[in-house]
Amino acid sequence: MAGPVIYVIDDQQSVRDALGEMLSVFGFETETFESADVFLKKVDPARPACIVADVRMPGTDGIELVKQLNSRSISLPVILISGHADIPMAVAAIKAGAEEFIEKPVDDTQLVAAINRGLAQMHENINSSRSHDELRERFARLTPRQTEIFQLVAEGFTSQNIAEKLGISVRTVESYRAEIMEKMQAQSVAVLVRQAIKLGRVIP
Amino acid sequence: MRSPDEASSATASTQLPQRVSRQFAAALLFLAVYVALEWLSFIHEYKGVPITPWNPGLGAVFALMIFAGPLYAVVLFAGVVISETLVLKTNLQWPIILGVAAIIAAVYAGATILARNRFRLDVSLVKLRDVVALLGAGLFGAVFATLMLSLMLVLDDLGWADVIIALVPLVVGDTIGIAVVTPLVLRILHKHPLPALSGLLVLEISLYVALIFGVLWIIAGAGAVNAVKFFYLLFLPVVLAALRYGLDGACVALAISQLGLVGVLQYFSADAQTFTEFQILMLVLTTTGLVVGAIVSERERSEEHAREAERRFKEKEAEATQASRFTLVSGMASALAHEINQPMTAARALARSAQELIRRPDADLARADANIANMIAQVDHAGGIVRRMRDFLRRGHPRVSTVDVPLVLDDALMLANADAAAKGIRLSLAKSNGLPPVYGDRVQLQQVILNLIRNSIDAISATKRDGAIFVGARQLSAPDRVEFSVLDDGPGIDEDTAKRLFEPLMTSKHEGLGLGLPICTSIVEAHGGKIWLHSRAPGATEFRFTIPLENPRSA
Repeated sequence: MAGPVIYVIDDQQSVRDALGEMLSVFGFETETFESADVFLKKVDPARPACIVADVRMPGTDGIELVKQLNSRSISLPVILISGHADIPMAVAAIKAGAEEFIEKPVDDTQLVAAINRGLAQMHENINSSRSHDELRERFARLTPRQTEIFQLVAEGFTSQNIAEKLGISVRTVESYRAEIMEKMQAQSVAVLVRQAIKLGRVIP
Repeated sequence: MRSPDEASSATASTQLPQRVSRQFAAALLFLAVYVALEWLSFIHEYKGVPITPWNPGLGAVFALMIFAGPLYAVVLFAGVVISETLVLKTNLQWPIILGVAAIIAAVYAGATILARNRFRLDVSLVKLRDVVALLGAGLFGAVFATLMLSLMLVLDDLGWADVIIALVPLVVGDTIGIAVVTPLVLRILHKHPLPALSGLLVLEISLYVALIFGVLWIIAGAGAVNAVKFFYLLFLPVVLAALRYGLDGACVALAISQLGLVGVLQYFSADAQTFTEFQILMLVLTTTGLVVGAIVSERERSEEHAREAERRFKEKEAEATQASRFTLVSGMASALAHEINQPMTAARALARSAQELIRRPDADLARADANIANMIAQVDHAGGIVRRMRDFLRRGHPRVSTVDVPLVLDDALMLANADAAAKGIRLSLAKSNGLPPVYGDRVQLQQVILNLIRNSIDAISATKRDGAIFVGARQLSAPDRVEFSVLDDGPGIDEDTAKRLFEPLMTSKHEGLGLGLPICTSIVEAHGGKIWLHSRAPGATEFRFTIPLENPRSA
């Protein structure tokens, strides 16, 4: 799989070329686009990337770009840059879901920090979504009886309580619990409870 | 000595005596003037009744009354009594002297009230009607006073025939005294303190005096009988002075003519009849001179008013041009900050790249060098923006030179581009290479184009997001000119708005000043061109203006 790429989008060629050059000198793989519309047509949603885009552009502007990406469920971090930054614009950018909002002329330290943070965030998101999927798979493998007991354990009932509730022996409950923890790859009851929360089975 | 009123008012007690003493001084001064003028005037006596050929003293005191109020008739009363007794040494009885003085004072007080209250006379005589009103009141006074006096004298013991003989010269003498002296004194009182005379003016006045005395010399040389024939020559200097200096010129010329005429007649020991003939002619001359003078003054004053109004309008217009330039600029300020930020952003990124490249052990110097070269270009670009901005802001007189049309268009588009781009509007320029230069003020022409582009931007962004503006110029002949065009695909202009488009303060925008197009018009017209709305259609709204080509002969 290819490494992360930085997409630089600015309607002014001198700016996007210079920013692209700087980021490439810094060791990033870069790609420049003259407008958000062109970018949206060509973007590969699967490729890990970070977007650096101007706010004011003809056609789709920076804030609109963030919204479009959200609506298409493309979760790439977006760093917005602007020559006439004001507070309402910054608020709108962050509310729309931009990773960071930086004024022009861009401070490279700030930009690189924001890119790194965005990329790290993206990796974490990928990892967490991957682990989430796995958790679901494991949970799906539980038998109905195991699912019932998983629910009661997660809700905080003791083995004694569960045995009484279901009219089975405490020993049987404990053996079910051991099977569940093995299937869910949970080292402790605490982990099991956290998994239940992640799966939305219980409300913390 | 204090009156009870004065004693009761502490503030008035300090001012009132001063005012009273000033009024008293003025009264005494005019009394002295009256008596002196009576003494100087040539006196005929007809059966014991003194008949003055003209009455300058009366004119002076009448001026005071018109100027300060009818109560100064007291001066007239005292003046008549004193001159009758001390100067003329008349044989008349005291009751008659007092009666004559009372009648004269009362009648002229009435004439004063008539002029001030009924005719609403402006004492500075700024209008022809004021001069006419003054002459009317004077004539009324002269006729009425004469009638009253005649009545009294008839009652005394003169016969009707004698009265008629005395009557005409009396009316004429009083009227001429008022007509010649009263306007002069009023003008002097109005202009007080009198302006200093320039050397040139003194020379010109001397010329008039010489002219008047030249004419009088001719009259005198013609002999007493033929003198009347040459009287009309006096019209020349009087009308000339009136034409040159208005009412003031007429007043002074008339006074000199009258004095000279009286002197000449006295020299020839002219009889009462000749005197009266001349005085009637003099009255015609006086009326003519005053009317011409008043008309000239009135026209000069209205011209002055018109000039003043025009000057103020020009001032306002200049302010408005500046204000609109300022609004234009403040409106563009954020867009321009963006415009300058762009090259700065690029330059900074390139500088960091170059720095990073040089710091490495295996420094890629060629790449760093390319970055630095690019960076210099970016800095120059920012400098260019700042320079154009400064040119645009600079106030002052038009700086006329040959103007390169493509350059003006480029500059204007560059200034407007950021704003247009920010609003998603495409700004395009038709290639205008090969156009000849026009003659004018580069910044002003740029402002006209910018104004039109800004109007287009506002019109487009008021309705929809995206749009396009096309700017172009082409050469036309007969007469040789360059026609500029700014076309947009905005919502168009409705008929009502289009009609009033070029009127000042007409605006369809919420924040508009309504001065943009009038300023464009004045700039274009100052360049000898025309500006008009070529099409008001939605989707193809177009303004055009022309600037004449540089004239090779005048260059």
